[in-house]
Amino acid sequence: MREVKAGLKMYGSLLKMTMRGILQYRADFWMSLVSVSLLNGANIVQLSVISWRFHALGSWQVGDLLVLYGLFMISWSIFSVFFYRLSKIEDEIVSGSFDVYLLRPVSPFLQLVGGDIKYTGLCDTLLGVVLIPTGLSMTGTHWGLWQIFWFVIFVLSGGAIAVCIKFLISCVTFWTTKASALSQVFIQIYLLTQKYPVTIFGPAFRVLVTGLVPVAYLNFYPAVYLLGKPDAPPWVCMLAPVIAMVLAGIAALVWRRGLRRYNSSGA
Amino acid sequence: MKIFAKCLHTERRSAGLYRTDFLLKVLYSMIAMYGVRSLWTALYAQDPAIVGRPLPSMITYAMLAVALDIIFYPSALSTAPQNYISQQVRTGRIDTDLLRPVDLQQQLLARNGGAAAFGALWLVMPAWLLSVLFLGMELPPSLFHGAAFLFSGVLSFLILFSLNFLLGMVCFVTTEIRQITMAYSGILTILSGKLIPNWLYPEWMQALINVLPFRCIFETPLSIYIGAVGNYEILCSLVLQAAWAGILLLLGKIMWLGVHRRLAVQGG
Amino acid sequence: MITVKNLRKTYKIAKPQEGRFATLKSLVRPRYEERRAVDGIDFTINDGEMVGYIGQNGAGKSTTIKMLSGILVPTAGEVSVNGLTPHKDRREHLRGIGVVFGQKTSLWWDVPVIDSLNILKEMYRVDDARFRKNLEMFTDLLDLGPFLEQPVRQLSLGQRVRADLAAALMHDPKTLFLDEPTIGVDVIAKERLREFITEINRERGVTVLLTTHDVVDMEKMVKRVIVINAGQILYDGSMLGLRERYGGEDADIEDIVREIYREGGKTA
Repeated sequence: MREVKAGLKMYGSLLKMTMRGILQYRADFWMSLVSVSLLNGANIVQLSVISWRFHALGSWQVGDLLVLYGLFMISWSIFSVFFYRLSKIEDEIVSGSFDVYLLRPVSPFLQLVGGDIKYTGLCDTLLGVVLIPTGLSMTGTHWGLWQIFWFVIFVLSGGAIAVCIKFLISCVTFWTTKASALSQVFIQIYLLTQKYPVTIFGPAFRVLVTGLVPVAYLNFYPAVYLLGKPDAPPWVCMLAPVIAMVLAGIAALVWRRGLRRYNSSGA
Repeated sequence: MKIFAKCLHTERRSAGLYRTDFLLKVLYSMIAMYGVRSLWTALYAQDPAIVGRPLPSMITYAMLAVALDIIFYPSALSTAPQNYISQQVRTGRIDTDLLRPVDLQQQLLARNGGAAAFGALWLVMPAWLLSVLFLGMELPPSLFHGAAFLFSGVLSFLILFSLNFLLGMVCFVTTEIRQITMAYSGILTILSGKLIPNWLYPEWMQALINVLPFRCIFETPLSIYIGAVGNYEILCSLVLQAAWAGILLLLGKIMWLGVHRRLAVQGG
Repeated sequence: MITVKNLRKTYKIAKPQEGRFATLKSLVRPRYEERRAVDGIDFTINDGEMVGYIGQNGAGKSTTIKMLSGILVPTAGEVSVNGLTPHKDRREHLRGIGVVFGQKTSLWWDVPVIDSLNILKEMYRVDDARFRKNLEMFTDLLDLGPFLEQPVRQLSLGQRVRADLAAALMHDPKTLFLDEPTIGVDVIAKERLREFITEINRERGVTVLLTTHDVVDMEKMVKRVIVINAGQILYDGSMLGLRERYGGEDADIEDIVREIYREGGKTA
């Protein structure tokens, strides 16, 4: 318990310092906002054209699709704002800064996470915050306290799942020094689940994104539950927090083994 | 040409060292192909009339776009000119490029071309073959269409290269281009016909897209491949592509000469 | 005290393949070869000693330093620093050592030097009084004053190494590992670094192990040198003895070092 407290305090100090560093590049800030919006813009344009032409995707109306996309963006932003650096272990190793983490008597994980904050990720959050109410009003769905409670649970579990998957992929660097291609595979998978209901991709894909790389828990299952879609039974959706915890356990294990491996190979 | 061959060789060697990398690249293209295939199948079930083409042909279009994207995504290749230039500018090594007797644009074209040729052979081809075998990708309607597609693909690469090169020139003004690259990738994705073919956009957007060079990168070769355009139109679109490639390459050259002069006067 | 017994470190590296179908071959079955970076070395360094550790690039110097600081676990053999095994008693060991890599900084790139020092104070749990005293002393000796408030990325190389040295000593380590601390630094800054390191060693009794390619560093700073080649120790003894063994009292150290390397190259 005492160690956890000390860790959190260390994290706080690191973040404070990181923020001061970031504030020095103020000009970058606006440019980042514009470009992140444009990148999301490509998705929005695609969604709009599809909805303008086709009105729906199977049983999912345009409003449903907006909620689906919005849920993804909010959960994802937990990763992209606070844990972004975890996906950059390869860069750290190549640049040699990973060695430096190992030279300090503080957990390398803490140094990694505390060393960076990506404020542009807030664009993702913002987009989600706009998209979800818009989608809900289009479909005429109203959320009570129960739904809002589950919305929070889903966002937190989704965030944890996103962080764990990104982190696990990044940890592969310890064994192959090249995790970028694997990360590309993952990106291709979540680019599909991000915008479209998993159901259209068939059962094999659904098994993949539910059990193996559970990105469907970032938005698909939450949306199914919160919008009352027939695509999956409620209990499957409510497994989200359990899956998040299991993944976190696996990630911790792999990280520890990865460190040991790094100690013996030096990459 | 010599640099081109050399780069092809280097690419081959490094691909050998990162074999999982290579296999995963093919794998992720397969996933993306499967994804667009499912999407269009679902949309087609919704309303076949709106898609405007027979389903197999639409699927072929979308999957081939994914395959080409392995080498056509703006920063897919590490030898892409904007990557190289921004790195050189950031580290201050751009001076050494001024000292070389070879023109920077030509040199980068040879390098990037070598990498792209390797990628076409070892990444796009396998992805294409696998999708023909397992995902229902169609073959081009005739040998002529196939040949025209290949020719058009080379021109696509030239257009993309020169746009990337122009993007690299921006480095000399802002030094940091990561953000601009992201925005540029977004624009390219929307306007090149990679995700959604031109004919599905609203009319005003089609008009805009028609006067921009981006559609020549994906839509032109893909439409040729699926046989959506007649022989005469194929010829016309190839000429248009060549014209864009010429104009953009020239523009890049002029800008580089300007930058070169400025660097020589101010010393970086 | 540092004790190293029969220390070994071997790496496994993928081998690029030549010839026809090289890509395919290395994809199907990659070949590895073993490289012995450190191949059975022994030495003991007593408290308060300052020792130069020299050898050609790739001789195994950095690997040794990495094993001594606990970043790397040895393949075989024993290491003990201040009575602790670096890779086993990690945290405690790290509190007792300071490490500076001349080639890369351990400070945070974008924040002022003082912020880095403050965060290190927290990491090593240095109490306020000691921190203030050390900061005052190092600011004075290393002349940190002018750039304490500047972010590290804006510092010159000489300033950066000085800041790194201060950072490595803030927690009063008993042992200091310096990996090429003077590399790329100008003559005057080098002189100041040498004076500082010598002073720290003499006044505070800090044990120093230092790698360098600079013969002046050796002549001015160390009494004892360890020469390593191809992972094995060629010479371990006084500078004086080195002269006697390889060419007499007036011999130029640079010639001697060249001679040793050449000899090592033959036997390796």
